[in-house]
Amino acid sequence: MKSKVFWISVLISIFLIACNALGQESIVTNTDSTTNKDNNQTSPPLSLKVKELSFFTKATTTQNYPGKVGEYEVLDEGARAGIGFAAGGENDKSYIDVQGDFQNDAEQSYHALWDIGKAFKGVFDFDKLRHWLDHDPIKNVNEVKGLPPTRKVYTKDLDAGTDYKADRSVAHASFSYQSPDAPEITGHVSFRQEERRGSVQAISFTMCQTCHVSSRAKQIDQVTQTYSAGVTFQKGKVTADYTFGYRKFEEKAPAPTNFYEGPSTNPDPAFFDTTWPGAPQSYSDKRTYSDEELPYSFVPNSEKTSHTLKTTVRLPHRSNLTVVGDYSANQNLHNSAWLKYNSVASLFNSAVTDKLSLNLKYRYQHIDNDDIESAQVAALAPYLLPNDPYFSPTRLYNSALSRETHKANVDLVYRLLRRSVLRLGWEGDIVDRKNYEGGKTTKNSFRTSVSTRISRKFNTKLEYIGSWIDNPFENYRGGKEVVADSFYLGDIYSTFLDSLRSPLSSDPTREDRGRVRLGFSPSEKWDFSLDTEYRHSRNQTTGWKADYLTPGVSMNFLPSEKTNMNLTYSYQYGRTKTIFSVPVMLLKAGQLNYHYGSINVLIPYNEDIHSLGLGIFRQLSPKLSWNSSATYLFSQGEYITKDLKGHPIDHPEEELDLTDFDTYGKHDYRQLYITLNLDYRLLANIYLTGELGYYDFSNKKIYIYDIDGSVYVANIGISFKQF
Amino acid sequence: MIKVKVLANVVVLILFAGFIANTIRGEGDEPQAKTASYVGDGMCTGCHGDVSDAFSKTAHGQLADFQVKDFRKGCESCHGPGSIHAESSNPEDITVFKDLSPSKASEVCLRCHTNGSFMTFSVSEHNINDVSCISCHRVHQTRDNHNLVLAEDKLCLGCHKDIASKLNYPSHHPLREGKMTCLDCHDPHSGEKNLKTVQTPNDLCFECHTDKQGPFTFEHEPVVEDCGLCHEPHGTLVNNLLKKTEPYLCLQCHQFHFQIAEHSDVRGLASSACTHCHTAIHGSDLPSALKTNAGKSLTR
Repeated sequence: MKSKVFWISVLISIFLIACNALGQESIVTNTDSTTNKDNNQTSPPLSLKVKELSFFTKATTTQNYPGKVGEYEVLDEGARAGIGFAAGGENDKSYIDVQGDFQNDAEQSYHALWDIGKAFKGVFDFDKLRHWLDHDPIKNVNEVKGLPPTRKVYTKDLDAGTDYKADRSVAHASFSYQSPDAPEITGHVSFRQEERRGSVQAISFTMCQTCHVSSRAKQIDQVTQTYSAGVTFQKGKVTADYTFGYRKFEEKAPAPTNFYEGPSTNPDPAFFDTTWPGAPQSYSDKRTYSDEELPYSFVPNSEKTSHTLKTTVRLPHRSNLTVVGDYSANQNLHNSAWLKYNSVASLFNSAVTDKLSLNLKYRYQHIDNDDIESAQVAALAPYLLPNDPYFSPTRLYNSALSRETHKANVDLVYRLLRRSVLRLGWEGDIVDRKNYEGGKTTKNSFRTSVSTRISRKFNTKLEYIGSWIDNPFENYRGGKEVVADSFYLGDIYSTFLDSLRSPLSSDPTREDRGRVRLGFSPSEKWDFSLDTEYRHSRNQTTGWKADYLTPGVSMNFLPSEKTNMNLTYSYQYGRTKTIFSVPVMLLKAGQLNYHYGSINVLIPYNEDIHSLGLGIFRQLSPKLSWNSSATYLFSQGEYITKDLKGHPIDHPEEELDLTDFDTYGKHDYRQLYITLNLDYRLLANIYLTGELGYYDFSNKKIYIYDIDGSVYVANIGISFKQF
Repeated sequence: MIKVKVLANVVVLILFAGFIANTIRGEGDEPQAKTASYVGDGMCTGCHGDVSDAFSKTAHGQLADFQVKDFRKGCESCHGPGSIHAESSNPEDITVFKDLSPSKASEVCLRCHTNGSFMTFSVSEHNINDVSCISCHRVHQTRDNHNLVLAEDKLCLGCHKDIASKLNYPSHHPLREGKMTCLDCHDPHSGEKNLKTVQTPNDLCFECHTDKQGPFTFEHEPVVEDCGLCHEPHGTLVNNLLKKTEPYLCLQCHQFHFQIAEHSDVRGLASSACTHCHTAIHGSDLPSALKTNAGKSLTR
């Protein structure tokens, strides 16, 4: 299948190139209408001119938790020197531009762009940043004192107090060469290398004797190298491009290890022997390990190759047809599983009339990820006995990713006036997952929008998108069970899992989206805009639903050339409801055998995020300019379980109360960012610069760990600028 | 399945029919008058000296002959033949871009810019929504920063204000800090939702987050389905760009553990985060916890 799809796209491309012979337009030569009349004239030498050179000192001081106020900053205490530069040069044949800044070893950025003789072009980028990572203290917030150790769920942070952070760098270079002797052909190559080094939290859960959760630092030393090479052919109305890609990912740091208990004993004979007959059997089916030291949080190395062929033909009557074929294969080098991807797409657009244009798209994808089933058998083999009574082969999971998809778009754009358009569109999407009991997902979306710039002062856009989805992606064994009184303990767990379930999902069966944009500029000094979107999504099968409203307004005021002000406000309103499905078991003395069904309660999740921003620029004098910005965010999110209680049908004695389940699920944040920048021209090309910044983050609700923090930033520098 | 294949074949045939019909039909139109003739840049400089002088320092103004072998260079390559305008000085006698519809303005640029992501600009969301080349680029100014009107992110966020506000949310990619740009994920000229991938949106995420790609022996189905089921890449209230806090996020698709009802110790750990135990939430090569669940508990 994979090669069939790819070769179809190759044949289509050859056909299109051959058809180009039908429609060659006449060539207009460049005898008189050239800006640089004589391309053979000797050009002046290319000299590099320094545009900017700056030296600065940056100091930061942090209070409390740095991860929120400086997630991507280096917040070492004290002052650090840095340098910035920009240089460039050009003549009538070549161009080069370089710029960069070095703040410290973990914060750097460089960029270069060149065009030599119009034939050899290139781009180089290097960026490095530091990323502060979470350190969850893994407190068991409802740890029960007094339980015997073998029945206790307890946690241990073996790395308490350590900051986790990773330095991430990305180097990217791309080159293209177009020979003057063969301008139809352009070769291109690119290379990208991303590195992540540092430490991250690795949590391990061993479940046998007890539920024991422990945390350690895990070193990360990851390198991703991506190469691509290709050639573009362009002649007349046809452009064709072939690109080969190769990507290699490697995690060089070893995975941490932990001790995992085996299925040897009843974890608490004093409890289970008196209250739960047959407990050893029931516990044996829950264990995979064999009292051994094993790795966890393991990241496999991988390799990926890809081939992409794209052909575009410019057709008469302002039309274009593009065909894209893509094939890739990605292998996990640890389990040797292959993921194979094929796609072919056609894109067509045409000016049917002067006012009406038509856009058609179609894409077919085939994805094969079935290798993982054999990888599962190999991974479980060390833990299975012959005819193992506690292993059910029916539980092997085929990949949900293996699938065929068909996606088509039709868009009609009708020009009502020169700058007013009406758009009508339909998009159909069929996802046929090969190993999925839920059936095919079919989505139909209809879009209509009107946008207009009826004058320079006023523009608006109104848009509506309605979507209908059959069989959305769901967990068809999610819960919502209403069948009661079925045995499960004493039998293997897979029987419990295989019993009748209804689906749970956060994907909708129906979605409506409406959007309004308004822009109004009553004069050259004022500019207002309003952007509001409302989205309503619901799943009529599972009861899940979500409403989002996101209005935003902004204002720009330019009273003079020397002053500029802008003010923005945005609000995100979110209300989601989903079923919490809680199975109820009778776990009391002497009777641990009954599953009484589930209580299913609709639980809300509410979000309110207010964001206010202010920016001011002012040229205070011919030598002194000042700009300042402030952003304030007030954000709240919570789910509410005050109604999470009840009892299964016909069993009022099994009242379940989880109304306090939401205790640690609330966020109430305040964020304040203020910056002040001054720029003073000391001499003709010498500037003094200063920056002050204050960032503060606080959480007003109880949480499992304290994330409040603030940071002060001061940056003073001197720069040479040559425009 | 057979019906779908038939439908797919019909769609492809329709596309080819349209292609053949257009090939046979005839020539396309030009924005400028057909009766004018080319006069050369020297004539333009006489009245438009400042613009012409600035243009001569740009990439367009310094094109080599081999770069535009099949087309014209200079002012008239875009504005059309200027003989009538040179005599009348009437703007209506030459192509003026601000008077063109956005799609027609872009077509002029796309006559030469035909490679790379420009190959599909005509069917891109920007072009369909009347955002033309000159909405973002200024051809007459210097060539720094691809002739953009503003710096990249300021330009994008000037229209996409809803995204601008999300970049300030507590969890975000480092765009606000200036260490990433919109163009790290988006291609303004092409791509479904202007994403820089011809494959699935997940493949774009895996360009940087390759450690999540797998394919894992024990996968987590929503991960392979769509990263966007759990994550919102522009900014969220909750850590790790999650759309909702744990365990609510997970309980939208999973039932509770029965132990939570009876065992407050389990409730204490689970009510704060499912990933306290289910740490390999993106998938794992290592079997975990439950033999009868074929090792797929994702706790290792």
